[in-house]
Amino acid sequence: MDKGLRILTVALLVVAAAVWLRASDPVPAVAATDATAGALNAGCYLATPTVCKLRVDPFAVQTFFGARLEGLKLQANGQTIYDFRTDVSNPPSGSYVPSRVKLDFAATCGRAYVVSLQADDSSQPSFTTIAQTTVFTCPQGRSEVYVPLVTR
Amino acid sequence: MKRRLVSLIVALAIVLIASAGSGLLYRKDADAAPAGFASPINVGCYIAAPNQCRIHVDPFTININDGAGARLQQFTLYANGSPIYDFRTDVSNPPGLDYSPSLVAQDFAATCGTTYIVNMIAKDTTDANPLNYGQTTAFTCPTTVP
Repeated sequence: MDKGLRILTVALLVVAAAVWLRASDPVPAVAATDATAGALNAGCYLATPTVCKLRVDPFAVQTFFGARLEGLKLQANGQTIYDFRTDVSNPPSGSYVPSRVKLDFAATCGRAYVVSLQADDSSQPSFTTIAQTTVFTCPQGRSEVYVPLVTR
Repeated sequence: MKRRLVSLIVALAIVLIASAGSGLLYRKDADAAPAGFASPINVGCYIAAPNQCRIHVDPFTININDGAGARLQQFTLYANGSPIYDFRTDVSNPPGLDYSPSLVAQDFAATCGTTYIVNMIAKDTTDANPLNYGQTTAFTCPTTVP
């Protein structure tokens, strides 16, 4: 019984040491502010007579206090049009300028849009909106109707 | 003897539970560590047209072991384990410095609504086999045109 008690005591001491070691891990500093972006400028254009596209000009995202950029989302009227994530092992910090997509973003002709940018960095638990445009309206596309012509 | 065995089992159980709780045993790996020289890649998916999504890869640099005279032989981009871009260098004059490939002209095909992880496998002449040089976290392609 004594031996059992001794073993239990040793086990408890090991547990206490483990907890103490874990508790003395340095707590990472939390960034005081969110990531920010410069101006977000975007518009809508007629790519073909019936197709409209959203164009977003290049923008820079800045993180602070050693925070790492983890993701970006571009949204049009609250709907995500571009979901972007950074490298899992070496996410960027400081200023980051994502490159432009090649084909621009799909849009509905004639519709009014507000485009916003959300960012997620290592100092925050989730995405937050960091930039937004004012309202702009896509041009009215031309709807094409095919009418078969019968000739004699 | 029996009592001692029970005491030992109880002690071991306490140690295991405490270790798990303190994170010593079941510590989750924070990152998928690159096997090759870290070459970060940053990637996203966007909707280009109804039912047409594209994966866009930001410009990246492949860091090779140029200090040891390594030459880049190849790299491949994968989306969810399937190759989307297979690239080879010149057989006679492969690049001997860190290499930044040009961006593709039309981005990469993707399926709307699908969640992807993109990684980059590369090999220089000092690697025995192709290694994982960079990888993103998961991102999801949009589903509808706004």
